Order: sequence, then C-alpha cells, then structure tokens
Amino acid sequence: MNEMLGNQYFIARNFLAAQHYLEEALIKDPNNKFISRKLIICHAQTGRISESFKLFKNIIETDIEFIVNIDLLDEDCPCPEILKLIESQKELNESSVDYKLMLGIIWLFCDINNSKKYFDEAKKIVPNYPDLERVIFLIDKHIQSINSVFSD
Amino acid sequence: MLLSDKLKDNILDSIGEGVFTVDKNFKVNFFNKAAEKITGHLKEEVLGKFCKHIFRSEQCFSDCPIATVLKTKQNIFDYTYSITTNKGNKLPIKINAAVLYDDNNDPIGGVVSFRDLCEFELLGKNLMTKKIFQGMIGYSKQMQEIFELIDEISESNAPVFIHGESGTGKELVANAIQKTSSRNEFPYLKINCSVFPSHLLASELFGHVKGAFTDAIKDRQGRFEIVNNGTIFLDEVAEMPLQMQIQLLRVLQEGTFERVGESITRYSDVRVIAATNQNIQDALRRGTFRDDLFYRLNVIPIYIPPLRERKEDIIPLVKHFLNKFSIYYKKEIFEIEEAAIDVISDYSWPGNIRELENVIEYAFVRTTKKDTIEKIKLPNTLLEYKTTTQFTKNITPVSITNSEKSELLAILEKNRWNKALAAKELGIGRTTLWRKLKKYSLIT
Repeated sequence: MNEMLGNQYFIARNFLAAQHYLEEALIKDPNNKFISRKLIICHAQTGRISESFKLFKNIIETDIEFIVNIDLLDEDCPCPEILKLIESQKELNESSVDYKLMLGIIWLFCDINNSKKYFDEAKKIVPNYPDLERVIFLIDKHIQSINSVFSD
Repeated sequence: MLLSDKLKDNILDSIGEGVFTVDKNFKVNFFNKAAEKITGHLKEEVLGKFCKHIFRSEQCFSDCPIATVLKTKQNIFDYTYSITTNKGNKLPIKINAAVLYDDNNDPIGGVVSFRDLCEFELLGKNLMTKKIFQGMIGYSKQMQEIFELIDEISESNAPVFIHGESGTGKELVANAIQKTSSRNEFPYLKINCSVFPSHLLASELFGHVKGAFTDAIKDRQGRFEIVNNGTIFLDEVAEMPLQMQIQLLRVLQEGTFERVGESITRYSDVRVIAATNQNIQDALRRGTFRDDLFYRLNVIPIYIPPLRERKEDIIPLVKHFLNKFSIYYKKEIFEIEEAAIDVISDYSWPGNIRELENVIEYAFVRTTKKDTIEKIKLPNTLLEYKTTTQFTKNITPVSITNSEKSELLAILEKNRWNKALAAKELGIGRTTLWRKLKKYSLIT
C-alpha cells in the first residue's frame, strides 16, 4: 500500500507526503531502486539533503545510469520542473553546501555536466568530505566513459 | 470455465461505463471502448501513460480517487470528478474506484469506472420532463403514459380526440401535442364550439363573404383558412351542431370547405385536435354526435383521467400552484399543513385540476400571517366533505337507515307526499315503500 500511495503523492508532487509513504515502503523493500530514486528527490525537496545524498551515493555506486539515463517524460521525473523553479527563486542561499549538493543531485537526472559542476562547487566549500569525493569520482568516471564512446 | 484475457477485454469493452486500470505507478494499463468514447483518447495513445496526463484533472493532484481508496481502504462510489477530454473540454464524470491487490494483498494497481455526468444530467432532465411535460404536471402512471404518447405521435398529422372531465387539462394536452408536432412553426388556433350559435360557428370555422348574413359587412377568412398547414383545437366538439359536424367531416376527409355565402371550394391542410368533456358514447347513442365524425376524429384517442383517479398528482400540483401564487401574490407560502394535505388528498375533486387550483388560491389568499397553508383556511366544501366521509366511514347501520329515512322524507316532500310518485322515483314498489314508511314511523 505504502509504495503505491507514495507513488501517487510523488506524481502529484506532494513530496512531503510521498516521502512518508516511500520511506515506509523502502523499509519493507530496501533494495528497491525505484523507491530510492523517488526518495532521493523527495528528501532533496524537503530539506533532508544528507539523507538524499546518502541514497543518491548508494545508487550511483551500483548503477549511476539508473539516474543518468532516466526517461524524464516516461518516468514523469519532476527534476526539470524543480530546476526551473529553483532558478526562479533568487532568495535561496546559493552559497550553502546543502544547496550545491541538492542541485548536484537534481541535475544528475537532467545533465551530468551541470551535476558535476555543483558537486565541484560543494567540494570547494567542504574539501574533506569523502562521500562527496566519491560521488564526484563516480560522476567523472561516467563522464569519461561517455566521452570515450564518442571519441571512439 | 476461466475466462481468457481477450474475453475479459471484450466484456469490458461492451459495457457503457468507461473503465481503466492503472499499475502501481499510476500508468494506464487498460482502457475500454467507453472510456475512449467519453474521453476522446484512443486506447493506443493512453496505454503506458500516467493517468494524470490523460485526464488532466486538478483533482489528480489533490484528490486522487485511488489514493483515497488506498488511504481509507474503502472503495469509492459515485464520486464526482472533473476531467479534461482530448479536445480540451472540461467534463464532469461520476466515478467508482477500487484498488487491485496481488496474492500477498499488496496493492498492484487500481481500477476506475466512470460515466459522463452530462448523460446523468440529461437523464435527470428527461425524468423531470416526464413529470413536468410541456407545462403539465403528471407523476401518475396514467399521465406519464399520456406524455409518452404525445412524444410518440409528434411525427404524426393524424387527428387527436382528447376525452376528459372538465378541468382535467385537455387544452394543455392539446397545446403539448401542437408544440411537439412538426407543425409547431405554423399557426395554431383554438375554438370553443359550445360558445357559438351554429351560423356563427360556421362563419368562424370556414369564413364568410360580404352579405352572407346581416352582419357580414366584408369578406372574412375562417379559422381553417387562417391555420393552413397548422393546427386547430376544437374544444367541446360534441356541442357542435349536427349540420356543422357534416362540414367538419368533409374538411377532415377532403380538406375542402366553402366560406358561408360562397360556392368557391377552398382547400386547407389542417391538423385537427378535438376535445370533449362529454361521455361521447352517450352522445353517439343519443345521436347528437355523428359516428362517422367520431371515427374520423378519434384516430388518436387520449383519455385524461380525473384527478380522483390519479391522487399521486395532487401534491405535486399543490406545490406547483403554491409556487405560482407565491409569484403572483408576492407572498412566500411554500408549505402546507399535513392535515390540509389529508383533506386535499381525500377530496374527490369533481372540478379536477381547475378546482384544485381555485382551492389553493382561496387558501393562499386567506393565509396572511404564516408561511404555511393551514387546514382551516381551506374552503368549507373540502372540510365538510372530509367530515361527511369520515362520518360515513364510521357509520353504524343505524346511520345508514337514518340516511335512508332522510332520503325517503326528501322524496316524499318533493312529491308532496304522493306515495305512488315517490315509489316510482325511488324505483321500488308501493308495498315496499309502505313497509319503509312504517319502519321509520312515517305513517301510523
């Protein structure tokens, strides 16, 4: 019940309610990447950046393409709308590490290079953050693999 | 025997309600033919898409029916929802929703059946119009059959003969027939055959030429000429003089007539609706109404039952008249006491709806301080009728004999105590009368 209800709130863009039900669903089914992927966005949107980042790192450790190659339309991914909304909100604290991490996470659903840009900016603020370094590494690695395909 | 998926799809495609199912991500995985018809989306276009992108309802974001079922664990029935059709129109629908579960009782999707609410509204309107048809109120089966018949004959040009007691609404039925007919754009004239002397009736119906009679100072068209291609309503047709009946029969048979005082034959295509409050069979027996005319007119007979035979119409009519008089007298009286309703319902209404209307107006006018019609404000005729019938209902055999005694006395008085005449009027023998007189001590 929880996953389906979480899915409904997610497509209705009620991230707080979706987060509640998806968290319950993830406890029941901890390896469900679909639930995790939605929860990453929910946490990012409800200010629980560290939890979002943790789930995000777990996914890209095993399957970065699960985020990078998401079909935005087919999966009704809210990230493009979120980014559009963020761009229109100038009052946000653009220099905080959470803000950079959140943008890095959300951008990975839409554009890997922009994602890396925000993670790099976060690293400048917190240089000794191993999980962040690992995320940047994985993203770099994936960018290189993409580039190598094109250079071949 | 288990049904195949294809057969199940065929079954769901055959029903009138739109049906769609979604998976646990709210992507459509079934969409039946009725759903295609209602929404304007083709099945192929919607399968695999999120339902919110198909139905584009604001309620998808705030009030998803499947989410409600998930939360409440109660299926939803007849829930009003608004969707956007493929053409971009807002469409109100009534929906039922349920959640689909797997063998482990985990939700795996949802099913929604829905119906175009406009259809409901149309149905409701149709039902309303069946009860209030062309200004007539008829909740009773008899009246609804009449409304249905009027609908059925709307394409016909055949003559209609309306039978019914005075005040039953024969003219309203005639109006409805005309209004729903294919001739409704053409002239419609009414004539009460009982109010014209025979020579004037002929002039009214067929016209006259100058000099045809003393007051005929110029040529004049008759009603049949004026309403060419239209409809004429001949009220109280049984009162028509026999000579006129022959002329009317000719118009009905041939469509021809002559103006009074003229020999030129004229033609007119007129649909005739006739009405009478007389017992037409009696009139035929007495020879005051021609058989051949009767059969010509009685192609579509309509019998309007008296109000006493359709008591279920009384209260709706009372309400209708209360509304009417509220507007007319600018008084807000919309209620009527239960006791007053009892009196009204028990009354026999010999004057039918016309009498009921008069009674309500009388009570309405008399009601000054309250917003409810009270029993005591009803006319005495009704109140006494109630008393009499109640009295009669509780009557002992003595009362009956008392009534017989009164009747005897009345007839004896009328016949100046001539017992032979009284016996004749009572339809009893003189010996029987003598025995009764003895019994009631009316003779010594």
